[in-house]
Amino acid sequence: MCTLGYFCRYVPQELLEACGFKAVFFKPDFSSPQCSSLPVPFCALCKTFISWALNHREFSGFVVPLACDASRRTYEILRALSVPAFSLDVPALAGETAVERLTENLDDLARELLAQSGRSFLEFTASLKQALEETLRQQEAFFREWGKRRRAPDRIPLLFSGSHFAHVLLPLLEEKGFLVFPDLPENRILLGEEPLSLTASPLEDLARFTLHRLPCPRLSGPARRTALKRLCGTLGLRGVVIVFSKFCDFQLYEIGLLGRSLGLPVLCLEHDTTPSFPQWETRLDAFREMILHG
Amino acid sequence: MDEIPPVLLRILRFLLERRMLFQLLEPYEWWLRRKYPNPPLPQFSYQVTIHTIRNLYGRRGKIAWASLFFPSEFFHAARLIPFYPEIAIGLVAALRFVQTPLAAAEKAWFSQDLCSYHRGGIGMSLLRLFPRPDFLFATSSICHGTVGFFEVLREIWNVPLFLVDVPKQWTRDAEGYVAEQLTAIARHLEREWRVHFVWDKPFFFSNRTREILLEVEALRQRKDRMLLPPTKNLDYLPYYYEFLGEETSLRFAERLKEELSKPSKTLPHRLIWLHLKPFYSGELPALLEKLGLGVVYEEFTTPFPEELSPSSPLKSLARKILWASEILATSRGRIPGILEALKRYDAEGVIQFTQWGCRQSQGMVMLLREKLLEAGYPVLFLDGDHLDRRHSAPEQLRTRLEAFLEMLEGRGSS
Repeated sequence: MCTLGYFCRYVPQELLEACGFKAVFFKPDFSSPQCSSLPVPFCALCKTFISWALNHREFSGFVVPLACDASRRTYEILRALSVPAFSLDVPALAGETAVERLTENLDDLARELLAQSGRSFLEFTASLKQALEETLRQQEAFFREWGKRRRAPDRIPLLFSGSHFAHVLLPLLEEKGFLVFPDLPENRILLGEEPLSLTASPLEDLARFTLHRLPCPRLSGPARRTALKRLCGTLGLRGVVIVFSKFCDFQLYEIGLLGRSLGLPVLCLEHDTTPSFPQWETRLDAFREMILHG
Repeated sequence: MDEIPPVLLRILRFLLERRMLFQLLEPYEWWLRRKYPNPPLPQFSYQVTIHTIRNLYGRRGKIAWASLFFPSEFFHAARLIPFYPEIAIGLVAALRFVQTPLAAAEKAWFSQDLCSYHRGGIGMSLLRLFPRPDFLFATSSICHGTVGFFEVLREIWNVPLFLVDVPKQWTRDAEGYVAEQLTAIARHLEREWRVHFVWDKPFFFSNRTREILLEVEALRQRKDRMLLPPTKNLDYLPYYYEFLGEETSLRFAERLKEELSKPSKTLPHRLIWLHLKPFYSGELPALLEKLGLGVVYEEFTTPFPEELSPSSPLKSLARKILWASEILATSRGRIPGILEALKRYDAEGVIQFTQWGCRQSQGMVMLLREKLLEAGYPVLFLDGDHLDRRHSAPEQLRTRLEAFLEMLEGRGSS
């Protein structure tokens, strides 16, 4: 089976698989190499993704969402370097207009991929429907698991937000006595909302599903902040840790906005893709003390 | 002048909030008009500045803050007063006052790594020194940072934000999508705010200004005239954006054409300038002039190549928005445009002053360098910040410009 690489949750894995590809999600860590031809003040994730793509020429291609300035450039750079790249334009809006637009864009991407894989559109639609049903089942499992996780009274529950490199810090946070609730799109269902039901149009379902999830920092409007505030209230979270890479504009704007609106202690851990574990340990200890003793 | 004591800031804020005080500028404007019935460009610009300050701080209408590529004709048609914070902060920098708002933004957790045009706008808003907006308008056109910036402004000012999502490819379908969004915004303004759109006059002024600016472009292609000091045209950005669609821009364009109508002093080298420039000091233009590096074209002052049509106004504006995105923010639109301008202006090379916090231009450096060198044009990327002087390194700048000059002269003699 042919393989496609991608790095952003806006690229739906369900669609790639329904088109007949194996989808590989890029999950960098602090040791991932970076494309050195790009200037310093440029997204570290995109630099590492470009480097990863160049080292995986055996893949059939890479799907890049046109969701931010850095990803737009990443797509152009991959094309210029003759790496097969497919783009998905993601609206910067929420609401019905955005659903309609994203549906059209997903349709364009699907047709482009189907032309590569040779799978029929009918086959694709049936496969996508199945994939979405599976996703809904996974959401239920996610909900049950987080329900269990909440029952850990000896730990300090906190919201953990951050981009791709953040997962590397999870063990450290657990070790420091925190109960970590990662800032995931699936968290929307923890807010007690009814899951979306499937209709006769799987592409529209997919678009709705993608945009209905808890908005990411890219859509840093009031909807995200309200949802995060509700999430913190619902789960009884006592603080927020944000891990961010130096040149991610969305994270950088969000830090200022969250600091102003959540009303909880916030700890920001910045990195330029070189880890600072000893320093982070000290800061997490101080943060823990601050939450426990005010 | 950069650091302002808090007490002075309080006094300044107190004064800026006194609308009546700014009404007193009216007799002064009248006196200036009497004294200079046909003012040269600097005096004209001074008078426009005074008038704009009276409009904005005297609150002579509803104020619409907009991102740079939201077409001003939309606001003039709605009789709103447009205010472009990304342009205004350049003026604040030129007045050597920008470090105070930058520091205010940083204190509120907005990182030094964010675009300083946006950070400065946030700082001026937190300090309540910019005129309070009634509405905010933004597009995701050339940079996505704008979306984050305007979200922060919405949070600070607590006023409605109208965001236009701009697709990354200019297609007929994309035109319809942008036009639909503009229509929805216009309808909302008409319904909720009793705003009434009249397109004829602003479109007439915009189209006429465009015609003259195209003549200005033709004059700048001639070898016997040049705008000096180099990059001077970037100081006139408000006329290319904020005032476009009102008489002010038309009068500016006429004066600019007049200034270029006769042969003038020229510099030995003809270059193209990409992106903007440092606004906090005149050191760079002076250095360019001293080294004989003239600028004959700037990409940010390129007029929209089409006439706006009053019969389908929002479709016209949608095309204008998509055009800006295409020629400035996609490599497939921008690079051929630069190569074409190099030929049209018979220019020898390209300089880009890359803004530290500008992801979209930083990301294109690699592609741009490769394509320009491939076409045989030398290119110089200067790194720094257009507003924040902490990122400036004047001696390094001099060295790099001197090396670039040597390269140009070496090519000329070989």
